[in-house]
Amino acid sequence: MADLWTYNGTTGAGNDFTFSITDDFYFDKTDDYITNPGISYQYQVSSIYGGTEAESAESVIAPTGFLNNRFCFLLGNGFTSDTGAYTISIYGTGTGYILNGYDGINVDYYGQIRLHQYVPYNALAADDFRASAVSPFTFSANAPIFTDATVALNYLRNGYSDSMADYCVNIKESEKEEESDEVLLYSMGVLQTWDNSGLIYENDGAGVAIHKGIRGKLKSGSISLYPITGISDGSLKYGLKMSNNVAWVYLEEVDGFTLTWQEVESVSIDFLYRKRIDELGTFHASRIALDTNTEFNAKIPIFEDETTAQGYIDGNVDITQATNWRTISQNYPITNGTEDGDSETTFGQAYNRSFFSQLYLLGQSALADISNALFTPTTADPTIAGAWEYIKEGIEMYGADPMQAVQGLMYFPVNLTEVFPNTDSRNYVYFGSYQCPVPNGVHRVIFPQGYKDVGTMRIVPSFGGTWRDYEPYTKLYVYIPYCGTYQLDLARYYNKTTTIRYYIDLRTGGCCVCLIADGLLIDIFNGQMGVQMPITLTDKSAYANSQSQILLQGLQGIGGVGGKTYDAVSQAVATAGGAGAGVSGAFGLLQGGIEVAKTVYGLSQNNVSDYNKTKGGSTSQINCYLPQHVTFIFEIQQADETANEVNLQGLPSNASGTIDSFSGYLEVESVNLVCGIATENEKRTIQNALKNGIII
Amino acid sequence: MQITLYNNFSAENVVHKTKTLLTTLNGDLLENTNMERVVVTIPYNANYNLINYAYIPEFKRFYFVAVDVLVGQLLRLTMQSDPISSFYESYKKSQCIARRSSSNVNTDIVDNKLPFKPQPKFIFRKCGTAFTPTSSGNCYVLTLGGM
Repeated sequence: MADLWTYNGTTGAGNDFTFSITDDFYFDKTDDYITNPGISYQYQVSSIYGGTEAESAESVIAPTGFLNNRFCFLLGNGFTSDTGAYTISIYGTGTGYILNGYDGINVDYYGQIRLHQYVPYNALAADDFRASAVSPFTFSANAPIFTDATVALNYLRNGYSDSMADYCVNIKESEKEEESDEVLLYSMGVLQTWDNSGLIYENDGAGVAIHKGIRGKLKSGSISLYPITGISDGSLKYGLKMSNNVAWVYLEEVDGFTLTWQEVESVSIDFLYRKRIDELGTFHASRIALDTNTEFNAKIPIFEDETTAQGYIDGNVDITQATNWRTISQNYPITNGTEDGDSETTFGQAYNRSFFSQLYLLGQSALADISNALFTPTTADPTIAGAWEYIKEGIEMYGADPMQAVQGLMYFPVNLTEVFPNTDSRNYVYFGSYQCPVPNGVHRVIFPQGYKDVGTMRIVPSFGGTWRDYEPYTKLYVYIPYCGTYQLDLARYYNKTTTIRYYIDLRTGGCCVCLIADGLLIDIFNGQMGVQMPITLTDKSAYANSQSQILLQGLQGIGGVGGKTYDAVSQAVATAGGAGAGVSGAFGLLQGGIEVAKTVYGLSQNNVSDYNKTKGGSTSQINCYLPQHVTFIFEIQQADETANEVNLQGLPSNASGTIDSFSGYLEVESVNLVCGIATENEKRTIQNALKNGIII
Repeated sequence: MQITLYNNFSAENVVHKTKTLLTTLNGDLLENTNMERVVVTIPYNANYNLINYAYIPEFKRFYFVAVDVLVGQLLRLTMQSDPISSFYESYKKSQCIARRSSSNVNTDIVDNKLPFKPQPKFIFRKCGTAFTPTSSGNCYVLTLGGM
């Protein structure tokens, strides 16, 4: 833009400076008294004084650095003239220049130089000047003209762009359009801080205050946000990505409507943080908000992760990929990501696409994020895209209901990410094609392969591996959580290290427990670990019905009474009286093609116990309260042994040999008696004695 | 014929009996006798009540002895042979299969003579890691239809 003003650079006491407006300048306001182009105006300032607010200096300080100072015109308001005429005021930035009191000249303690001047319609009459001689000084710079004092002050003190000047808007129309593509105004600020002291803390209040508020504006470049996970108390944390040419200002204080800003060249933070202070799932009224002040006309895109946010800064990611694109987009309905506004929303497209179900492993905080997001009744907080509004719009537009995308929610008594390593971490989930942000993070299951070893046990015979270590003299049972108690074949486990390994079915909640002895699979047991959590009323009815049925069946006894008939009932029961089948409803689970309830409601006779001969029905929920350790139970018959048994009656032998190869008590099963000198009767006596036992 | 009289402490089925020598008598048979069962009359012996075992070298047999006290200071000894002890050296090389033995024991064979108490003993051994049904950690699975 061509210079509108010329400053001739002459300094010195008593010098005035003049401003002349070039030909192509228009005052295009409703009260624009100056409508003729090409008029040259000259203004004189009688003197320039330096000093501070408290001083009423009379000495003249030569203006230095004029070229580096900013000047602007405030047209028509802000400062009144004594005569009520139209005023054109000249403001200078705060180096302390104070214009000496002069008739018709007001003094601004903050360094403003105001010149009230009668402005004739067509020209200036020479005698209207209050000044003395016309100064040879002229001001050389682009001096924008504002109509709003606050805006003008922001320009002078806070480094705001001159693009806010009215003359830019009204005069340089063509340049304005060209610049508007480049000049992007983004701002964000904490409208209210979340504690009464007005401080933002990085953590629980114990940390150092970072900033009370932040507001930034940039002329060009870009800025983006991305959620940062890892905060378990439900607070929100967003990282910032920005290009190099961002100018920041720092909110010092908020006092009602008065904002006091301090300009800084950079900020030492790289995130914004919204702290959750109440444990009930609601957030403090304060929030990180995109500033809707009319000064700022754009909003910051929020991307799903840091990489994408940086990609946007680098120009590799389109702004339409922002998770809040719908909020910041100028197009409505939202686009389908092709930058072409169209009449079809992505929300509606969810039902034109085939979809595959996804498994997400998540903790309680992330569940709270999703629940809050889905049922937040307002979009006032765009950081959690108030989904309910979108849901309603979706229903109105297409009858679509994202809740129908929910196939199930299940609880497991184990940290599943330790069991299933093949997951990817993300900060969102998809209900159909609707992306719901989850600041606390989820783990999407890529491949549900995994197992959990709950321990090993080396089973050693108690009696050195003799007959007493085997059935029926010794019995072995194992209690397996979520499966029941079962008898094991001891012989297969002796002198082996047995690993107890759980395989978990994430979709049905079933579990399969393998007993692996020295690397060999010996026994497998089935059970139900996942606790289905009914989400809707229909779910709950089916769930309760199925639970009561399975418990009743347990009392009545299934599969026979006593004996070894437990295998059939120890498996996960497919249908407990058809419980849970046919769930439907506007907010129910999807039907068809999805295992809704057969094993979903976690029903099995998993309190079968061979050990104490009971057959109890149970549920996976109840089993969460039973003992959680795998326990081996040895049942050992106690013998009443005597010390001299071996001497008096020997022990089982089955050894063969000559009679004199034995010693002590000998009782033969059979003998080939060779005895030459005994009579037959005596031989019989010997044989009978041998069979009844002799002591050698 | 010589007869050695003993006081025997061992049971009938003991091969090498524990015995105490009492006296040795020499005499002639006055009647016919059977080697398995010998009956003799001997002069009175003050230790007659200890006599329960005898050995006759000529017959190469040990005998279990029953003593009758006769009128006229006489004792009648009724002796029945003890083949177990008498012929051990002869039959000790006989092959046999032992059912029970003090020396050659097979612990894999059930001892039916061992009495058991009615109540068994239970030993519980817990295995390492327990499940922790709490709300901490990633313990929920949310199944969604979608992208």
